[in-house]
Amino acid sequence: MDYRTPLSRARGLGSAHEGTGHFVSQRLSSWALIPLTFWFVVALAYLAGSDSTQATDWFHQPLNALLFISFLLVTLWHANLGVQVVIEDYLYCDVLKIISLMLLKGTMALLTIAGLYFIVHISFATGAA
Amino acid sequence: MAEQARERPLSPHLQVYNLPLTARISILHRIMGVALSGGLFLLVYWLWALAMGQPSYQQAQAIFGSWLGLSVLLGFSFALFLHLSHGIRHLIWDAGVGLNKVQTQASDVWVLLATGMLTALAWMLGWLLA
Repeated sequence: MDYRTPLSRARGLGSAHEGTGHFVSQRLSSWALIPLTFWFVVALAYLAGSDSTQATDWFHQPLNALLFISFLLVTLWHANLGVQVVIEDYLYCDVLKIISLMLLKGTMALLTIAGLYFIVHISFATGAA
Repeated sequence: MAEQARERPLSPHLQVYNLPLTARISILHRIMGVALSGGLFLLVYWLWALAMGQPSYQQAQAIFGSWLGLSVLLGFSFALFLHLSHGIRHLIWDAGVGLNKVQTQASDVWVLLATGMLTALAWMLGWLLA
């Protein structure tokens, strides 16, 4: 005899309940990336012909460093969500899928940490680089 | 058993259809997204080079400024603007707007036009500022 309500029995048997969060996160990062991408392209166009002194000076402007960090973090997060879906869509073998997802998350974490460290390093570097 | 499984008739897959332009752009969007994610390695490499100082930055700038480097960057800029343009269309679609056949066919043209024009503009800007 099961005294639980039909709703209680059905709970937890469906999806992992992460889909909507993933969707919203992907869309919010998309919205944020529209202005950030235009800013980034203009910044790269400006830095294209630069030497290290000019580029370092540019990063010494707090607004430039902050926007670069924003662009990098949001882009890495957006890429992480996007590639995750590609892996989940095309890899049917569970072992391969889980290993790929772990590699993706690890790589994205490393790129985030390294990228942040380098920007901070450049932005606070004093004297001749 | 394995042989039997292989002999089962398969339903026709993507390659038997003449896909509409919207579908082709959609596939490209995903491929470009993955490619751009890979390109983040190059971005972090460039930041590393600048953080390490003048010699490594000079080398990185020389690599990106070479014909091979510029071709790769041209590819990435095209990928970026296609992903951006089609991505904006996706955000409009999210609102339930522009989803019928006539409208998607029209927005296909807008997406491709925007991609081409933004790519050209970015390189003109780079050429002017450099």
